[in-house]
Amino acid sequence: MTVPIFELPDELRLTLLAKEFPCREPQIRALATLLNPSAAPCRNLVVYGTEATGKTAIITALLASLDNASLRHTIVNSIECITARHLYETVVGKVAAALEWEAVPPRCESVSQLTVELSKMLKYTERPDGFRTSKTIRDHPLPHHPLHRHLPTPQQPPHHLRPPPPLPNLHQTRIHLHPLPNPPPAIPNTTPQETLDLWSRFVGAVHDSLSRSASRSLPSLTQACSTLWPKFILPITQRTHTAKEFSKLVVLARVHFQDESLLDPTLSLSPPPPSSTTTTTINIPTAKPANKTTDLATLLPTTARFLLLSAYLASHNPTKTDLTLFSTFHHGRKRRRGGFSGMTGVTGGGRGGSRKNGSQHRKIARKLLGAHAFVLERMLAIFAAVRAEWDPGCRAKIRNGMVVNNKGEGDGNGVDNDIYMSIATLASLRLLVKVGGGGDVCDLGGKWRVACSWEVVRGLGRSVGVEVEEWLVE
Amino acid sequence: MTTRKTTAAAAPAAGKKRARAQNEDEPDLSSTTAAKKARVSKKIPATATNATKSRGHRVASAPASAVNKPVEIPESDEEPQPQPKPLTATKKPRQPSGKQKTNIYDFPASDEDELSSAEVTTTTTTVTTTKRKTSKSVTSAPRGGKENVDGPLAEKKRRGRPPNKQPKKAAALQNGNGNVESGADSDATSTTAVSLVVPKTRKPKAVTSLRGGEAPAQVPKGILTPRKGQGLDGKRGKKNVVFAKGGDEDEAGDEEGETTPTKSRGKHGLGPDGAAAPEAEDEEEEGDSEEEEDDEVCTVCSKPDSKKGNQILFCDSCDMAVHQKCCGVARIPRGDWFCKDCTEKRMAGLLSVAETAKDRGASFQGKKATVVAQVAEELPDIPNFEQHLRMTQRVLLDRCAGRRRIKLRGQNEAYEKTYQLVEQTIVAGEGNSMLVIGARGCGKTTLVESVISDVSKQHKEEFHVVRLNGFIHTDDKLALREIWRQLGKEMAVEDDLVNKTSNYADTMASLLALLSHPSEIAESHEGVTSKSIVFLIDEFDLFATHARQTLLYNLFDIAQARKAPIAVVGLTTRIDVVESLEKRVKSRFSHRYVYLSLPKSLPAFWDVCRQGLSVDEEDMEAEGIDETLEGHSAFWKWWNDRIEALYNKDQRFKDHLESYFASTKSVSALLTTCVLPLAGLSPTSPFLRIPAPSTSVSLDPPDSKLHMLESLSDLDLSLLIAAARLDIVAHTDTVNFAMAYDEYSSLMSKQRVQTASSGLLVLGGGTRVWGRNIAGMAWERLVALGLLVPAASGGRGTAGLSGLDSKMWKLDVALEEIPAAVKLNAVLARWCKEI
Repeated sequence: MTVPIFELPDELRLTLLAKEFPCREPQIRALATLLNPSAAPCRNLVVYGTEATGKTAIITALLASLDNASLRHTIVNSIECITARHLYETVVGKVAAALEWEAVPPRCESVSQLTVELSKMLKYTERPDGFRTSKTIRDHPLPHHPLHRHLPTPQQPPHHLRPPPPLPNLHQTRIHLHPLPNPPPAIPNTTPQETLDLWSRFVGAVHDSLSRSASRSLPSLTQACSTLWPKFILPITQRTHTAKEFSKLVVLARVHFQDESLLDPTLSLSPPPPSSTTTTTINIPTAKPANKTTDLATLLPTTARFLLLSAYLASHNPTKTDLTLFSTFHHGRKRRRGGFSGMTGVTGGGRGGSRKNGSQHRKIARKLLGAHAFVLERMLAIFAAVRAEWDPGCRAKIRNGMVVNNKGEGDGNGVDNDIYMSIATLASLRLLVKVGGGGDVCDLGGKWRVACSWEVVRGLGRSVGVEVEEWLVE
Repeated sequence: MTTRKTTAAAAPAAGKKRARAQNEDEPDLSSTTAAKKARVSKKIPATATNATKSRGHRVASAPASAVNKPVEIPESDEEPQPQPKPLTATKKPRQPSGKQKTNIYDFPASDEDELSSAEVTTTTTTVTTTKRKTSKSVTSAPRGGKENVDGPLAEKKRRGRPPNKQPKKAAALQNGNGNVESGADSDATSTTAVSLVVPKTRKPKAVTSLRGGEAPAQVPKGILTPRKGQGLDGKRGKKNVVFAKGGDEDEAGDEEGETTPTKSRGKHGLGPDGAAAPEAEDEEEEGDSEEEEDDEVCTVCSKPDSKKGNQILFCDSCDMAVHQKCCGVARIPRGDWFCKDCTEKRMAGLLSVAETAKDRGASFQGKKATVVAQVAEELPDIPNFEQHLRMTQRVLLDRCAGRRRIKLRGQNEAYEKTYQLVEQTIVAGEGNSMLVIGARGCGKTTLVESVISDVSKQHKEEFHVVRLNGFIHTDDKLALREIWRQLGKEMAVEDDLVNKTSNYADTMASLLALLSHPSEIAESHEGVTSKSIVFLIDEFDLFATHARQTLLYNLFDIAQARKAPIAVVGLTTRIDVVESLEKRVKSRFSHRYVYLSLPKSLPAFWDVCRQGLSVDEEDMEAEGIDETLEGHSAFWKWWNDRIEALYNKDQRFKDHLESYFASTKSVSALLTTCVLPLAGLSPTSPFLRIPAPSTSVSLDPPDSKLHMLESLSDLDLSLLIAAARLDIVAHTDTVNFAMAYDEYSSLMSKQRVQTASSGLLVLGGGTRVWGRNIAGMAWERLVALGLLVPAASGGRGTAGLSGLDSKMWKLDVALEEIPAAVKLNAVLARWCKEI
């Protein structure tokens, strides 16, 4: 009997792969050794690395290049499988396809069946053509994918978990060498060579200004480059500069380099068309659709804005300070606004509190801790207390959840003053969130929480002439 | 130690260089003569071993010889005298061990004379020569080990050494032998290639001898020329004489002086002596420029020219080539010269000159020594070497990767017990049950499977094996179905039956019937009933969690009641597994246990691990190794010796082994680290190095998440640091994005104020404050990478509707760990330090 002899994988293929994926040669070689049936095939292998480091690309390319009669492979993406059964059947189906198995893959509900089916196909078969199979299934599971909770227990006891060659992220110096996916078309009135030179320097600049500092992955760099490139070469196309004046071009394009919207998917996707009308049910004079904050302010009716503000106050002020803040009754203590000097020094800046005397640790601004839940009744009380002050023109009273004009019931004003309707609107917009299930929306004892950020609320407040900061305890 | 002679360290290096130089200079010396010399030198070490001086070095000398070999190979072709042996490589290595005989054959009597005389006359000189060798070996060792290709190596050396030659020439000139020397040069040019290899080791000797003869009192300089004139005939005899006279001192001095320019090992250690060196330098340079130009370029300015006053220097440790000016060396040091890196490394290790000497030879920071030792081994001359090696790799790799079972070690008692139980079931028809208990990786499955395979050798057709696994067969229904299937029932047939509960009961019933009344059902299932069945139940404890433990109850019941000859062998890691059995199940269990333990001592551990690196004699056939192939026993002797040496002598391997023994005792984990080194062996470099050098890809799992910090952008890191600071500054263990961003922006604004005041704002970059949206993305990335884990605290933040801002997270990294794990820029580093 002759022993199959150890052979290293084909050098030529590896070299090609290594060229295709620069800076990954050691990993490629190790992987090839560990995957090739004639080298040192391992039973399982975890390849890890942060995103966009080439794990999938390399594995796929490598397997494709190694694929032959003695090594078949199939790729299963476990994220695409919703349930455990889905996963099992996908595996069986794909393996069957890779082996050109004739029988229809059967149902497969449990691990036990999975092992049976796989061993049927892979272990016990004597193919007529003497075909020896070995299987490589690559899963790319997210570590916390729910599927893994479905699996009864760790499937393979870890004795042969073959830990992975790490794929370090691209290094700054290397990234310049990396062939960027899109070599740009030559700019008019320059030679291709000049364009290429310019491009490589440009990529370097983009990397320094954006990628390294904020978003360090190849895809984001690619995207930023492709977005910036037209703006960058604008002076060249307009013939005010030539391709050789790189530094001047950079200076000209500095504004764009500093524009962080390049990295921000939300803004880069929707360049604001200035005249787009808001398709909301609420009739609003379409103001300039500037940014989201003012959007919200303009979208909401006044009552709703007041409600939202008072909800914010209710969420962010401790209950015990309500009396001081909102009561007009003279109880001997001075009514305070804009923070208690004894407790906190600054309210305005980012830093919420200064140090309390004696305490070692800085206090965290309450508003940073997020919204607390409040009782609906309290919010309504605050609303009632504050309304007169915020909206002096309105001298209405609240009764039974309806804003009632002083002069008498049934008088015109009541139409859109239904507070509960406003609350319902806010809730449907998810600006107010009910905490805890159950209970009627109108339940005065129900708990709510405001769900908009400080920036939004500040803008909202200003839109109705209220500085919300003055009403916050800290 | 300051005197050269005694300092072995200095001498060896010098000798090396000079040797090389000489080779090139002396055309006359045919390769054969060179070879002779080499041999002589080698032999001498052996003889000299007695000499008290160079104990430590001798050890290293052996390696040296091996090292030389690769270098020589290329030149062998050119050697004027055809040598009988086809493979230079194999030949060379052998020489040291093979001793003079081979040499003698090749060469006329002169060699022998030389040898003998050398031995007799001067022990001290021999010592020095050996030392040289060692030093050289050290330097070249790393290269040799890594690069399989001999050719490049040789060339490299040749290139690297040129400076050495020149010194000598210069010396010659000084002595007044100028004319002769020129002749030598011309010769050298013609024959350089040939002689290069050979000379290294023996050169020094030859030189000294010559020198002694001609210009005894003077320093080394004149040596070359005279020798050349002497040609082949004269030098031998003289050499010996010279030694006797006291060439030692001169020699040492010369060597140092000459060696300096190119490679010198221990500049620090050796430095003190040679006054002669400076003079030599000037002249060396002239010569250097011509030869060096074509070869080595400066690593700093990447220009190849080497002029007077700005020569190219070669580090004696790493062979780096640098211009004098580029590295700021005003004068060429007399002794060895090291580049900055190597100097630092050395300084750490060198406390005194004495140590230097030792370092060179044997224990140069531990590492070198091992390298040397490994490289020292010669390529064995074994027929079919490649084939043997490849077969070995196949077997060992399969073992390391877990595709072949390795033998059980040190568990004989357990094995006997299990074997007996299984055998009795099969032979005597007993019903048995047993539990095998032991930690993960201690060999439970190996034990059971080897018992099964051993038993089946004798009783092949007499029993069935049913294998169940608690991980796979998660309830009794599945397990039962699997039993049916493995007993020869087709699963597809059973599907319909088993899916209905009633049929499940039926299955159970029929299985029970099948097992309990063999005689009755015999006609329908003859094949099954007449045989014993061995149930191997992996993860036995999980079966105890199944409802009412029906399966276990029935199996144990059958086994105990002797209804049928079955053996139930459970494998588990839980020592208290019996406690989890119901009373009725427990009472039917035979309470036989086998405990396996992990290796208790390092030798025991190694005994197990050894299986992954070597194949025992008795297993050869089982593993399919062709024992009839020529060279089988020689190869295995060689291989096993190497493995033993790895374990006994190689400190790095020992440490490696110990760390695994101390931390996990996991054999498979250790063998995993052997996979890539094993796969990397080739016929040209069949020397196993474990653990693999740190530059290569490691198969170890990452220690922690910290390795991901490297791939984070500055913004990611800033947020991470800000969040980590809050932990300390604000004394909260949970953070949300709002808090972290707030901290980040306040830190940033402080930073901006500072830099603005100091005018650094111009530099920009570091002080850019990113907007909330971008920071939000960065925060989400940290979450995705698992550096932030959700805080499970109830109440706010967990509702999921509160958005990014207020959801609370826990940081998986501590502030102190961040600077250690990643290189931070100055600003971020300060944030980590200043709370």
